[in-house]
Amino acid sequence: MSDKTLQERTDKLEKLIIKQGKYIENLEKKLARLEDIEAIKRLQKAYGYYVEHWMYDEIIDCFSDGPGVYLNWIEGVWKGKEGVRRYFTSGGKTTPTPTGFSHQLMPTSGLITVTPDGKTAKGRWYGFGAIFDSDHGKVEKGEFTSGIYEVCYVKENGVWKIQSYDWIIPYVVRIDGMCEGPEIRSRRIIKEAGEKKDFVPDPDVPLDKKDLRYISGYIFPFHYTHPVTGKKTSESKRNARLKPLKL
Amino acid sequence: MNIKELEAKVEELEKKVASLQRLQDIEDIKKLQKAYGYYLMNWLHEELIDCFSNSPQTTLEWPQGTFIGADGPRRFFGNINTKKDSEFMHQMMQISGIVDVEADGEHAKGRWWGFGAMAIPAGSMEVAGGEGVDQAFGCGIYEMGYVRENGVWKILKIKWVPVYNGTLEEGWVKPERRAKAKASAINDHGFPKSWHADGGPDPADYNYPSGRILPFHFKHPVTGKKTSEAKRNKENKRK
Repeated sequence: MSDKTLQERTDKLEKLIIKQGKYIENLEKKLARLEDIEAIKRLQKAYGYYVEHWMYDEIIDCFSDGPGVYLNWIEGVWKGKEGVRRYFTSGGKTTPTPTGFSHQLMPTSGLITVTPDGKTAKGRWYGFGAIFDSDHGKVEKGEFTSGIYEVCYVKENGVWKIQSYDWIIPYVVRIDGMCEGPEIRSRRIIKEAGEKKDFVPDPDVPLDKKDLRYISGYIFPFHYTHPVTGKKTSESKRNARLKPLKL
Repeated sequence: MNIKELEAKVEELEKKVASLQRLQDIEDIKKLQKAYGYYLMNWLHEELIDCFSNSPQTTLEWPQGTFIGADGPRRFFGNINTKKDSEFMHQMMQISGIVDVEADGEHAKGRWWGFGAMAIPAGSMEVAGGEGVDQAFGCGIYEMGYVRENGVWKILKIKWVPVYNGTLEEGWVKPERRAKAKASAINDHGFPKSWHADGGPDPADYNYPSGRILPFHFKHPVTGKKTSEAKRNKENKRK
């Protein structure tokens, strides 16, 4: 190989590498934004799973410690992280949420817009789900709620947090008498598992009648720690209050 | 590393880096689809129309008929709830989106669930006439085609297949505003002639309880195999 050919090839490579370097720099910025969007979606969904069981310590930890924090609910506006605490603890209560209380609002259709500086973001979500009290399986005050969140997020020390909520409820559907709480449904499932042999094939491990999944208020353990604090969440403590289903 | 190996390495890295662009494309497309859904709730005509490509291939395929062409979105969206009735609601939450960018990087496909509450005043959409507001929960499937035009992802094709709809005993429209007569089933009639639909409805009936499955544009994400809907649809046709 002549020196000239080698020189030409080296020059070509050098140009290519410089071009790629610039392209990668541009992609790095895009990737950082995509990571932000993913982290924000994760935060909002984690919040939703905590709200189902009204896990107020975990909920409060989702919020920013800085200025501009507020909750603009239908019932009024709560300001600052202290306001967030006051709202979610019903004015400072430390007693755990009653086990039969279920407040499912599935965050769906999350659309996130990060500001160019990457420090704040906004999101729009539907919150949709069933809200009810289940007293040993008998459902009271059941409704489907469909709301829309407009949310502000802020990145603090590299961690995305919720700064504010604006919330509207376009419609609510009363579902009294239309749904069964876990106990009633579970008693039926346990009974049928013993009777309907042709319908339920022999399992490799029989159902465990003491399993807490048959009880109102059971919090299905989370595979992840809190997205803001990184701490283990309180479900095992809360589940410890529950007693197995009375058959 | 000799010069030949170095050249090969640079080429390999170029390909790897280019593939990262796909993530941005998928996020942009999901955002587009969700935005479409939020506009749909209140039937924001212009915003909805702006979600679509200006291509002559732009296609909107509804159970009542198909619109084709750059003006298709306007002929469809521009004809519904023109009075901007405040009682009108068309919530379709865009859920479980799967988006696949094609090898050319300029086209993509998507599949989504749409689920939500409707409140359709008489004289709009499939509520032919009379008084009051018809209400229902609706659920269906979208198969989407997307195209990148001047760097921006747009909807090229939308196909909507309703799966079920129904009304809860107690709904969200006040009793005195509820429609006296029920709307007829969505597949029973097409669009008015004056809308100039470009084609009839898909002759296949995907409504419950037909058991027919709207074909998937994607292979199974784990096995990479073609899924069984064609076989199932054939069997259901026989029944």
